[in-house]
This record gives sequence, structure tokens and C-alpha cells, in this order.
Amino acid sequence: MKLAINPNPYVRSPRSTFKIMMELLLGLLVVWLCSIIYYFTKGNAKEGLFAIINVLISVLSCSLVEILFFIPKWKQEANHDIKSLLKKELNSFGYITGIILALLMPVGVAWWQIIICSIVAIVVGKMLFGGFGHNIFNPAIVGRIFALICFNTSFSYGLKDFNGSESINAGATILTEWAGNGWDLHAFNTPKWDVVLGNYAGALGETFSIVLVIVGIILCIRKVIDYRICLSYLVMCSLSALIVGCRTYYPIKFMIYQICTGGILFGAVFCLTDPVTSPTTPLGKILFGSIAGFVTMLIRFRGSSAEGVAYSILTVNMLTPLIDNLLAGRTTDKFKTKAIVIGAISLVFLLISCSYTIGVKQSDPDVNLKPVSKEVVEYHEPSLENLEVYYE
Amino acid sequence: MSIFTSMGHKHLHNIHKSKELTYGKEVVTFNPKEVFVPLVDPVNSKPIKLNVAIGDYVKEGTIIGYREDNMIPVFATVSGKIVREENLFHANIGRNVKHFVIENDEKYEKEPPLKILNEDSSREELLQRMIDAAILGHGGAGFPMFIKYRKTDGIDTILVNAVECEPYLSDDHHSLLINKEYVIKGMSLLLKLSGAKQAILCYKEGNPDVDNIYQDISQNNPNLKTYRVKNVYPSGWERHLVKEVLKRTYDRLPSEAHAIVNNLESVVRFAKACYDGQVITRKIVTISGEGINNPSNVELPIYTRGSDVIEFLGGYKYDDVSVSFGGPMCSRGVMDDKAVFLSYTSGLTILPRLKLNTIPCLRCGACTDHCPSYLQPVEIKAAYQGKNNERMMALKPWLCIGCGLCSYICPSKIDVSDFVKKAKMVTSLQLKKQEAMKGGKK
Repeated sequence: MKLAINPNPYVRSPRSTFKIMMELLLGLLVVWLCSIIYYFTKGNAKEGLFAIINVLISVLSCSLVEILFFIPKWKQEANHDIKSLLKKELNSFGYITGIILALLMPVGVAWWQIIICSIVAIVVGKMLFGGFGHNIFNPAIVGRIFALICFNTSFSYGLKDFNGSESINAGATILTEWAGNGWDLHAFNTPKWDVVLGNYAGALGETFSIVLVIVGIILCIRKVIDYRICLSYLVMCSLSALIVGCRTYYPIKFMIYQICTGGILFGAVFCLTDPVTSPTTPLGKILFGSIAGFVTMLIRFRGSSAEGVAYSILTVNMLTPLIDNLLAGRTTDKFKTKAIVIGAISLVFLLISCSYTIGVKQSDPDVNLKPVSKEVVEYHEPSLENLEVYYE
Repeated sequence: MSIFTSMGHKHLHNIHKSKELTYGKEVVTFNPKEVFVPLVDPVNSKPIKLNVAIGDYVKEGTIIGYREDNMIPVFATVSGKIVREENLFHANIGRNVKHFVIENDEKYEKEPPLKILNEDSSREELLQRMIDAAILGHGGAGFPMFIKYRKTDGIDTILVNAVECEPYLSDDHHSLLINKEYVIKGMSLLLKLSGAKQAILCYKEGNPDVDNIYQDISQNNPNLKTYRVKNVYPSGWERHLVKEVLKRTYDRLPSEAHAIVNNLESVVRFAKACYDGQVITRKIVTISGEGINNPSNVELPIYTRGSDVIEFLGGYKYDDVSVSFGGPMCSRGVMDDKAVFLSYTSGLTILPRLKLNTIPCLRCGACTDHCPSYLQPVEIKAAYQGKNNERMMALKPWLCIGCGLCSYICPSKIDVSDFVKKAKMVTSLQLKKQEAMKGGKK
């Protein structure tokens, strides 16, 4: 008779990290599927094919690099069979990094670029720190930033079809185009609902904002990702955009366009919420999200490129230990002070974002107001009707 | 508030299934051949003052000795001869201590009952009865109950804790069903003793049988009430209970929130000691879990060995099990199943050994999100492993209550609560040192 003396409790929750990660994987697969559908229907056959192949290459190379790292220790184990090696890989979740990395890239990226980026992501971003659970930076974002620095100019967002015909997706993303036009709302070529639905070219995962929102909500409810991070990030981004948008006379439209373009939604759901690289306290998570939102908008309006999401995530990942240090202790201790300080920080961020309005092109209200025909009235936001009354 | 701080509780996934193992089952009576009376005070591990010696004949209720500091008596629980002294494992102290072995002569001769008291008795008499009948806090700590009633200024509420939030245990539920008369009598007595305005019987929601029995509790005495607490863990913890029922928080003792919290078992025993003059020598305990053949509630003399009962119920189901005195969440498993049931042990949980696939911490913060003490177990673990003393002190692990929720919830299956326990030991020592230094400076 053996009595186990392992520590209590002897009842454990059936929920495991592996299950959580599988749910996350399911969410990623849904997003991937949507982008495949998009490229096959809106783009051409070649783009659709590459949307599939890119992800597979990335997942394979990430997993292989991780397995290489496991081999030395695995060799020392008593019974080193292939099964135990695969089990190690399954519990290290390199494939999730792989799929996120591929979804962060546009469809026109070359296969060797993906492989280099995934090697950088896994080696520099993850394994050098000690593997799963010890990394400071989100590995997928590390890979993506590497791509931004090294290959960004050679990226194309669309591919020529097999017969040589040009894709509608060729050229820059609508975000960079928009930024190039000084954030002028009238310069948009893409129809309104296509922008909101995410029905435009960009990185693979950025298509279909609505799907991202739905997947995000489901993952939050299933407690796979933390709703505090997503919410505080999105609220910070939208408030900043709302303030800037006041200059364009269409603040709400401007805000929705800002949120739905670029990687904000994908970053909020799949990158920022990576538990390994985010703080653990509830208040810390809120602070983390709002700093990330601030940095995103700062880079978007004041940086050299409009792609601020990846850099902002890397920046806040760096701040995580600091936030955890500042908020050490019980979560209820000095709760009011902490809440006031965090609220004040967020307010300062919003005040700073007022300065972004300089440089944003003022959309001339008169241009839109001239013909008071029925169609135009329908097209405008409800807030405009008040303006019309005012002008009349 | 739970957006900004921890939730502080969690609905356990197997709570219904585990309780149903013993709900509604008939109580089995078990009489061992020998009982083993520990000769040590479990609160401060000091030996007790002996009243009898080896070779003496004792009856049920004979005083074997007194606890040294507060004169709480220890009773013999069967009649027979004290045959020898034996070293046995003690579940609460965690090491081997001396026990008197009483051979059961199966005659069950009783000592004459104590003087019968009722609601008209004086406060001093009632308080003295708490000492004489050895009424303890029967939740698991074994702290004498009279201490809570020595000073009762400002107390306005008595909470009777019958929540039983641990999985598998069902003895309080059973006691609620059969002891209604004593529960009501005991609550009235405690109201008189403390001068409080109301006494609230707290039990878990989703027990319609208990609802039915206690719906007329305030018929004779309007100050008696019932409250159904949420089916979460650890809703039976004093602090959680006071917060949920009375919406009050406190720093150290419930009396700061003008409340006294008593376990149901203590209240029933106090009523029995006063109205019947009985000293309690027998007890109903839950022997349950997936690792035993016939999980049931067993009525047995206190100080029976665990191994005897397990044998009586058909033995272990598996070769590799963990046995804990109390519930599976906060009681640590014993190395030796020959430890005895104490008067405040509520049960024995036998579970097959867990095979955990531990992987590195994901830092998901689920432990921080659920800690009832609002601590940050994940950070405490990291600070302990990194031997970062300063950070450990900042994280205040000495406030841990050892409920085990952080280990339960951990998706990476890390023994988080074990790390917190270790950090608690390190920091409590340091804290004492610091306080001593401060005192020295004054």
C-alpha cells in the first residue's frame, strides 16, 4: 500500500493549458479559413493557394526549429523515442507562434522570408529566453518586426495570377494609403462596408474584422484570453481615434475606420493577450492594454509607418515586469490609489492624443453638403444631420 | 469590482458529483476494538496534563487529561482499560506523538451526565460548560469555542457555518437534516450568551431538503434566520462568509465586523452538552472519495484509527491513493493512514493519486484572479523560486489561508499553493524578526 504525499489539493480543475491553447488554435483556424475564402473569391487562385501554403510553411518551420532545440535534452533522457519528442513540442506550442506569424504577414511574402522570420521568432523570441513560459517578448511579433525591418519594401500585398493578370490587391494596404493621404476620409476608394467588414487586402489575419470581433468575444467568454487587455486596448485606441476624428467632422466614422484597418483587432485578440508576456494582476492588465493603445496610435499618427500595432506590442511586453513590480502586493491593497493613478495615466495619454489632430486633413464639410439629395443624406452619419440643420 | 480585483472564489467542477457519493446514504455504525487517545494538545503541540495512568479502567466520558493552557478536557470515548502507550502519526501535528490505547470492552458504560442547563442559566455557567464539555471550533482548527464568547461587546450577529464548501464532505449536511431541534436550541443559547440581535444559519444553495426543514426556523424565535450562500469554494471560509452574508469586511477577527462565526457541529454539540448534559464521545464523519470501495457516513467513537474504518468499509480501491483528514482541497495528505479521527475531524477523503502533466507557468493569472485573499500566487511562486526576498515580502504571502484554490485552478498543473506555503514560512519568520526589531527600538 502506497500513500501519495504529493501536496494538496487532490482535486484539480479539468481545464489545462493544452486545452486553452487548442481553443486558441481553433480561433486562429477560423480566421485563417476566412482569409483563404477571401483570397479565393476576391483575389485570384494563386493568392488563395499561397494563403494556405504560407501558414503551413510557417507552422512547419517553427515546430522544426523548436524540436531542434529539444533534441539535446531529449537525447539524455532514459527512453528517448519520437513520441516523447513530439509530446514536448505539443506542450511547447511553437505551432501557435507559427500560425500567428503567418497570419501577420501579407500573402505576397516569399517562402524563404517566412522561414527566416519563423527562425528568428522561435530562436530569438522564445528559445533563447528558455522556451515556453519564459519569453519576454511575443515571439510571433518578434518575427513580424524582423520582417518589417528587413523585407518590408519587397512585400507585395497581392500576387499576379498564374496567367499573369494583375490582382486587385496589388499595392499598399489601405491603411498606408490612407495615412499617405493625410487621413482624408474622402480619399477612400474602398466602399464603406468593405472597410468595416475587413473585406480588403492586408496581412492574412486582418481580413474580416467582424469575424475577429466574434472570435475575440467567444475566446474572452471561454477565458482563453483576458477581456481586460482587449477591452482597455480597444477603448484606448478608439478614444484616441475619436479625438483625432473630431477634426474631420466625422468622428465616429473616423474611429470605426481606424479600428477596422491595420492590425488593431488581430493584435488585440491574438498578440497582445498572450498570457506569457502580459501582466498577471487585473489592474496591471488594464494598464498594459491602455499603454499599448496609446503607443499604437502614437506610431500610427506620428511615426514613419502606419503599422504601429507590432511595435506597440513589443514596447508593452518590455513594460510587463515593471507593471508587475509596481502592482505587487494584494490586489485590494491601496486599490483607490492604484485605480486613480492608472486612470490619470490614461487621461494623460488621451490629452497627448489631442496633438495628433495636427496633420490630419480636415475634411471640408461643404463639399459633402452641396447637393441635399436623398442618397447623400442616407450616406452620411446621423451626426451630420444636426450639422445640416445648423448650416441651413 | 471583479473587473479590477480578484473574484475570490470559484465553482468547483466536481462538487455535485462528489457530494452525491454520500448524500442520502444510511449512516453506518462502527465500533473499533481499540481507540487511540493522543496525549498532545493539537493547537500548540504541548503534552496534556494526565488524569489517569496506564492500567486504569475508564468509562465513556472519563477525563483522560486537560489541555495545559486552557483546561479543555480530553475524554475517553469508549469504556475499557488503558492497556499501553503507543507512538502514532498525528494528522494535525504531522509527526508521531504518544497515544493511550484503550481496549474497547463493548459495554459502553457512561459517566453520569453533567448538570442540565437551559436558556435561563447564567452566562458564567454556559461559558463554563463550553470548557467542561470541550466544545471546540469543529471546522478543522480545533480552537476552543469559549474564547470567542469571553468578550461579546458590540456583537450583533452570530453566523452558524454549515456551508461545507469542500467537495466530498457531507457530514454537516447530514447533521442539518437530523439535528434540527439542537441547531435551533443551540442558536438560541448562543444568542443569549452573546447578546446578539440575530443568528443566521448559513448553508449552501441547491439543497431543497434543508430548505424544507428550516423554512419555519423563525417561528418561535424571530431572531433566527437562514441564508443560502452561493455554491462556490471557499464560501465556508469565515471572511468570505461574513462578506457574503453581512457585506462587511474585517482585518483580523470577525468580531471587528460585529460577528461571531461558529461551525454547525460546535453549535449542535453545545446544545447537546447543555440540554442533555452529554459529553460528546461519538461523531458522524464522512469517509468518501473515488479511492474507497463504500463511501459513506460513519458513526464512530472519536479517536478511532483511520485504517480501521477504511478496512471496515472494504478497503482501498486502488494501490496508489492519497488520504487526507478533512476535505481534499485544504488538508494535506497523511503519510500514514493509522492516524486517528479527532473530535473536530469532519471526514476522510481517499482519492486515487493524481498524475499531473506539469508544464511551465503560462502566467495566465488565473490564480491571482481567484485568490480569496487577493494575493498573487503566480508572483509569489516566481519570487520564491528566484529567492527574491524583498519581492516576497512585498507580496505578503503570510496572508495565505491555504485553501488550495490556486493549485486547483492552475491550467499548467503547478503546485502553486505549495510554493505559497513555503514562501509563507520564510516570510513569517522574517516578519517576526522585523517586528522584534521594531519592538527593540521602542
